[in-house]
Amino acid sequence: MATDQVVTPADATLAGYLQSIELAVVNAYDNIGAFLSDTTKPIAAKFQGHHKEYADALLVHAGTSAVKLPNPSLAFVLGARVQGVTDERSALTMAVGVENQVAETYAFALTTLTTPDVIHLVATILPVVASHAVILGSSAGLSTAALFPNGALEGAMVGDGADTKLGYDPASFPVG
Amino acid sequence: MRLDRRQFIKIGSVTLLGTAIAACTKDKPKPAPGQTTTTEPTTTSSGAPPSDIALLKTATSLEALAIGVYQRAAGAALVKDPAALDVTTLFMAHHTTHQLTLNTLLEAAEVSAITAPNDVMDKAIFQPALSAAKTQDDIVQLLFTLEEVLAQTYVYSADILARPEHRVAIATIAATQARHRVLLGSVFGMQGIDDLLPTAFSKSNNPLPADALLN
Repeated sequence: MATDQVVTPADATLAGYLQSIELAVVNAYDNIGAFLSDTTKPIAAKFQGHHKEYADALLVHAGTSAVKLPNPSLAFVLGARVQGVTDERSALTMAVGVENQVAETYAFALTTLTTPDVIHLVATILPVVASHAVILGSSAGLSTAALFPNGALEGAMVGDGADTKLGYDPASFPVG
Repeated sequence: MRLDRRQFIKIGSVTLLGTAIAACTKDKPKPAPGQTTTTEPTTTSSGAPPSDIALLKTATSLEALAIGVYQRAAGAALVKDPAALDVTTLFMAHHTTHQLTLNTLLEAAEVSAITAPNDVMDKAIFQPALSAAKTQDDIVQLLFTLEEVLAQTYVYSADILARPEHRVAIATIAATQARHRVLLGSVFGMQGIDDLLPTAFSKSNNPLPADALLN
């Protein structure tokens, strides 16, 4: 994806951060694959492919903040969560939580971004990531209320990763 | 006339989805799609850009439309499945919150609240489609299209809105409506994943006819 706009340093840093989050999510999908059935594996593969696309798209805007590896702190957190996965439902439920938190992280990003190309990119990613959560949650048999963890409005706040209603705080998940 | 689901799935843009609804119903005249109007400046002492005000007013009118469509859909008593009824009730409540949120932003910009539904969209698309609906599937397809139109309008708007608080509100509403859309499409509309999410990125072109935008 070509860009003809100058990305501000702050936005480039945030793009690199988001890229690192996406790479961690791509790895997480690899780690839950063994628990999925023939019905849900193609869905997870499709969503994992989306996250690869997001990482590639963010790379374009990250400049010198671009990363090559997944966010180490998030990779650690998600690796620990995978240890608690025992079956397909728990794998899908974990993925729902991750997708929700990624969506919230993108909404948070929109509170500070100023570069139009990056705003556009994030605005077009956010609804699809939120949609991932609903499709996975439906497959896991979650209640309707659980498919809208923040109610009528997507959350735009971040935390240390423990609360799935909050996105991933860059301060808690340093790029490296 | 029964709405044909495949007809919606195969057409690439939301505007054409809406056009398809109208064409399936009463052949009501429809405005040209995908164009924006030249916005007359709306002067506010708050300093909010006129384009922000126009988009917020339009979005609020779409939320009022959505509430009305859900109410009329409930009144038609075609949705029988208890789970579908619960979902539509929840979504109507969400739209009420969205309207309130957007009106709060308008009032902060010293612009009067919008309570009337978007008349152009209602008359051109949703009134005839509701009149033509005969089954629960028809209603679900109509609500699916409604959610898709709103979500796409807001993604388009997020590109243009200058104030971060306006952009974040619109984007977070768009994400919820995207959730509505896929739940309606996957659970109640029985659409496949490739139809629901054909690409990794949301469409961001303006799906509204020119005269549906409020200045």
